[in-house]
Amino acid sequence: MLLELKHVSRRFGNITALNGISFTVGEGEIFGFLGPSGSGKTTTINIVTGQLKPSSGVSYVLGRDSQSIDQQIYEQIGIVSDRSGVYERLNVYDNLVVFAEILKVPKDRIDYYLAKVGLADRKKQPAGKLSKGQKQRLILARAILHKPKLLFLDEPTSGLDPTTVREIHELFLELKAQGTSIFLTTHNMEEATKLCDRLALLDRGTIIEQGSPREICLRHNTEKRFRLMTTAGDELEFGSTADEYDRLCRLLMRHEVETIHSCEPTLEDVFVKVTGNSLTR
Amino acid sequence: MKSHFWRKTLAVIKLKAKMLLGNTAALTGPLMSIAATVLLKILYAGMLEGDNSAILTYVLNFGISFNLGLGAVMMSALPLAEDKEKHTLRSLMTSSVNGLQFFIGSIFWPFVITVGVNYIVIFVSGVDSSRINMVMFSLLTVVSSLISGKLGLLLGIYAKSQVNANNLMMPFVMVLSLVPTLSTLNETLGRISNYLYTGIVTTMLNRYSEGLEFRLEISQVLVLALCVVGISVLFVVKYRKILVSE
Repeated sequence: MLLELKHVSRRFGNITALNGISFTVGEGEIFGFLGPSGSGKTTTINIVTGQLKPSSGVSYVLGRDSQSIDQQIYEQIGIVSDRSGVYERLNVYDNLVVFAEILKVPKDRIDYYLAKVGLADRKKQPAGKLSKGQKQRLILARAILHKPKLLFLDEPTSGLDPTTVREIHELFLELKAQGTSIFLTTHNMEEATKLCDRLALLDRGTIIEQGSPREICLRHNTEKRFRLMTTAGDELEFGSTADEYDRLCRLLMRHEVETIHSCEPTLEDVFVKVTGNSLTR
Repeated sequence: MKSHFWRKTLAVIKLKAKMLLGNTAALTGPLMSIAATVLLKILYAGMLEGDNSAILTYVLNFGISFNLGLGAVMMSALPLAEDKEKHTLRSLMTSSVNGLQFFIGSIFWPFVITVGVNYIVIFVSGVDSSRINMVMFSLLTVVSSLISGKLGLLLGIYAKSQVNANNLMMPFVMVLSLVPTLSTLNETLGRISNYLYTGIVTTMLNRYSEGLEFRLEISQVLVLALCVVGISVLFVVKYRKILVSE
């Protein structure tokens, strides 16, 4: 396991930010942490990257206790968080040169990743003149420059436009294909569903569900509903009672069904069902 | 392992060179030390008749105290405070740069510039350099430049922003620059000055101006050693604390 948390809790005064969470992230896996703002996602990243002490519990990054992470571990991980900054007076390219030299990365890789995050045409621009989204992309390029074994991404696509988000998602999948494991926090259900092999739903510091997006949704698919469109253009929804099944079968036998879909709950539905709150609260 | 250490340290040195060149506020200190020395020499020009060594030594002393107490501290404190303010310090920390590498990388340019300015100030002050034992002068100003750079880093790492760094610096600048400069005018200031590393430099310059020899006393060596070691320890401890919040 590249990342392992065992019963990690963190309290800030009387507030419990994390409440005994446990999970693991394996090699080449994208693990998502899905929860609304204030649910403890960033606190988790800070603890596992050795930037915050847990009140109790232990976490291991690449086999090392997070609280004793040394340079060797930092050389093998990448971090994108709201605590990451850029050198505003340096241009985009020079921002990456600094970290390429620190991490002994060939400089030709800088151009490659600048192109990947859509900043190739801005390489000579001072980083201070970039928009928030562009800075976020620069930080991302910096975090992946050394092809880390494990990448920590704290809301990496927050505030980015849809086209860039799609390109960044492709990049994550490419990194995964190259063997990088990703720990991704997000409050974006679609992002989590699309990218994550497994994920945990987090609410007020507690993991309320864990598994693959499909497993989680199916686990809560208790009503087994179907939505169909008839050949006449009517949109109908069916539940799983005997009467409704009969109606559905009759329509199917009469070839009056144009399309039919099962209505499993989304991750958002699961979250709302379990917590009574929305992911975007 | 060694090559890793120096590769990262060199990367930080290169980074700091680029950042310092763009930080006019930080460069103001050493430039002001030279300018103030020239200005003071011009102001005292009318009094420079006969044996003027005492006045020229005062001018030199002023320039060096200013450089050590203000220039060096500013050059190291402000860029580091900026690093904290813009979260780039944390980015470096989490990209495998350790406290010592950051420390050496950050102090390098302020140290080199401060040492250089100390020699420039001798030249622009007009002091007869043959009166100065250059070996002792070099030894003491190099060590003092190192201490000032370290002190700046310590203040910078405690500051929350550049503005806050300026506020934190002020009392230190006042004490380190003014107490030695005014030490000959007031007995109490003279006594305090003996326990300041900038004061030891002043004592040395005053001895040379009177045509006397200067030797470091045990108490002065202790003051210098305490500053060198104490500030380094405090810095490395604070560096680690910044990375890991309690």
